Amino acid sequence: MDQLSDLDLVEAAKAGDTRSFGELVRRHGPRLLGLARHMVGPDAAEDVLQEAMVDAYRGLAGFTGHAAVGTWLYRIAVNRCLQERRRTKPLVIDAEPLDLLARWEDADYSVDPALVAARRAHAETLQSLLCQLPEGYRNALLLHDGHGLSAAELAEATGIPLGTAKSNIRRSRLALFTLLGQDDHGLLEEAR
Amino acid sequence: MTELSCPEARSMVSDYIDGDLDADQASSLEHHLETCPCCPPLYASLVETLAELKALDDTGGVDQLVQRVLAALAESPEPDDPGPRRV
Repeated sequence: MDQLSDLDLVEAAKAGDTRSFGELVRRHGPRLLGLARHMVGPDAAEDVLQEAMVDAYRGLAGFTGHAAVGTWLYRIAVNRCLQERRRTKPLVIDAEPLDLLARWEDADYSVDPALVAARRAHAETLQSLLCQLPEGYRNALLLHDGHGLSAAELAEATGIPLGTAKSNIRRSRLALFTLLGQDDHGLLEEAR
Repeated sequence: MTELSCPEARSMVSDYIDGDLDADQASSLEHHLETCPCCPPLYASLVETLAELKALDDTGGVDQLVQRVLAALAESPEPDDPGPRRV
């Protein structure tokens, strides 16, 4: 089964071969699990992904091959994760992203790379800062930078225009970087 | 090649990382990064931060996921619904 392409497996699954579909899940599962764990947390990730993959199997007739199989599965998984997140976690924005971004219009504004490195070293800091960002920014960082989706794939997976996806990629990076540069916990002194 | 201010250069860095700048823009930004005393550490720090996002992955548990999906499909095996929108 290792020699079969994703499209071969899709065709076999369309004919009712669930083992072929299982192989697709095995191939794309690592990235999908990583995605789901970041989006809905480790406890809910497997439940949400199981539902997403059953959705995908039931929707095989709708797969025409215009997108890569992985992108198609990603989009279905992202949709399920977004549903779950809206159901369980009301959006909380602790920082105003536009304010964060506007700071960089001042040529004198900067952050200390040593502070960014010190805060970045705490994985939970990155996670908590991601949670402070608006959904569109978080999706851009997780899907584009974390999971390597192109801007077009990000747009497709989250149902937003390509221009918005590109803008979110640019702005989300700067917003996260700016948040990392705020010394809220005296970590720079701790690191020195 | 255009001389860039620091704010101009910083606004282009994200597209530079993704390879989305045209050759002239990329050349201007590279020239700025070679000559500016402030921006190169910021650029390096941003690149390192984005790399850190990739490292957040924890991808164990795939076998268990496959088993769960196959068990769920065994209860409802027909791939006959139109499902999600066509791609």
